[in-house]
Amino acid sequence: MDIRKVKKLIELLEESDIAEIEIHEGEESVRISRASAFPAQTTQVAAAAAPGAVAAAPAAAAAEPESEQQEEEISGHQITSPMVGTFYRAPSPGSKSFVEEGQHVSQGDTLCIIEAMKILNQIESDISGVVKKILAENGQPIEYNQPLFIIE
Amino acid sequence: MASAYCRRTLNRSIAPLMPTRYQLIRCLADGKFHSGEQLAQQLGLSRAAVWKQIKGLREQWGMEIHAVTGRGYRLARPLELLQQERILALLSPETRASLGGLEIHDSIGSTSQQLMQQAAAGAPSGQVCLAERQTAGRGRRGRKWISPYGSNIYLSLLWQFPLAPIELSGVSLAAGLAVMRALNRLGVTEVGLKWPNDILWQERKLAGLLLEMTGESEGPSQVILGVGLNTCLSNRQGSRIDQPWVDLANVPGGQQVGRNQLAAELIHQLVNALECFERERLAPLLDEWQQQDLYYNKTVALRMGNQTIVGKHVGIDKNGALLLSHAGEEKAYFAGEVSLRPDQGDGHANTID
Repeated sequence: MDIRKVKKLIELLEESDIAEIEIHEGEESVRISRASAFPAQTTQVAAAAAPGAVAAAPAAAAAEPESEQQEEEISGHQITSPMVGTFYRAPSPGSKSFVEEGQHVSQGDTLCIIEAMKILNQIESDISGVVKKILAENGQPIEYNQPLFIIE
Repeated sequence: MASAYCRRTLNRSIAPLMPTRYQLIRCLADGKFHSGEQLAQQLGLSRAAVWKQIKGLREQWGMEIHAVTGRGYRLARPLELLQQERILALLSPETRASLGGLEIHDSIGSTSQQLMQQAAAGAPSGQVCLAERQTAGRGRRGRKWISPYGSNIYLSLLWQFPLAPIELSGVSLAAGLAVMRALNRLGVTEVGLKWPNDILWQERKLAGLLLEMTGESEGPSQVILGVGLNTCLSNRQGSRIDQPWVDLANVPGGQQVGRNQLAAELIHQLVNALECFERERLAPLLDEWQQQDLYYNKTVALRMGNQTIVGKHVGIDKNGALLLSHAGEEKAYFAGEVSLRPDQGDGHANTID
């Protein structure tokens, strides 16, 4: 992709209220995010990593650092996804999340929704405890059996 | 006005079973003229109160009602209201045997919500809920399903599967195909499917399905399947829909389809498809799905969250996932929203989202 085009896009983003812009052009893609949205990084220009099992566009790649820091093991009861789909923390955009980290949940409380192919699956906690960690981002593609929550 | 109010409250105490508004709709449903005088008498209201009710139907519910001096009121189109006995009579004994129960409501929050509450209280598999109107009809992710009175079909079905959620992904597509079959059987043949289960006519949405699932990761699972199918909307009602839409009245072959007949056929086909899915999953339905698939072999954009993937739609796999060919590779996708892109070859379309 032409570097002048990228520069133009950055200018465009800076002039607007948009937090992030993503352009696909044939096999290439570019995603530009506002620095403020990702405090640890400056403006990021990276090949868009495709979700889950999906192959990334084979453009000049720099893996997204933010998605790689989920390796550390955390003790506690894991809630995993019973299906492939998209992870949602709230019943609808703009509404309150079902749970937050640090919150106490009872057995049977809804933790999130996994959506695939117009099937909404409400994931309930199978134990009572405190939500120690939420392991997925809202809107993120989820694999079968992927850990979503740690409850302790 | 005071006297009208008095008469209305009096009437309430005599016939509290059905709100006046629904009684009035039943009087007008035949599409013929009814004088204000006659309606007032039938409903035990003053003529002014009848007028007020008519006004409410027009302004609040978007119904088209003609008022002609000397003749009275008339619905722009006759309304075929849903009747439990008629629907049950139209079902085969086999389908009737698979039903848990059949409820019809004049107005309800959402038919799926209703079944969810009933399921929590132990309702059996095969329970059906229909409504003439929904006050909180739902689509995906907080979207509304516009649900005016008597103009559409709002149908939900509860089904218990002895299967794990992971095995049920294809049920969404099986259900969409069932709706297609029902429409085809009733003579509506120019419609098609858009993955995962929208029913479209010329790029306009005729029907949509939403499934809600709960269950243990090892099974059993409970599915509540909701269908919204537009039958006949006024322009005013339709103006609230935020995407291209169509109703059955404007689709070839759709004008003659009765709502009771349609509801019965939908129940029949859905029950049939769910029973078949429970035994054999999606595999036996894949060929038929592909024949009805409007976007098969076309370049589409699949939008997932803030990402969009453009590729050629090369089919559906046995789990119901969409197969896209992108940059020479074929991948299966379980989530996202599909839209048609001008065909520019394999993976060479531009998108800005």
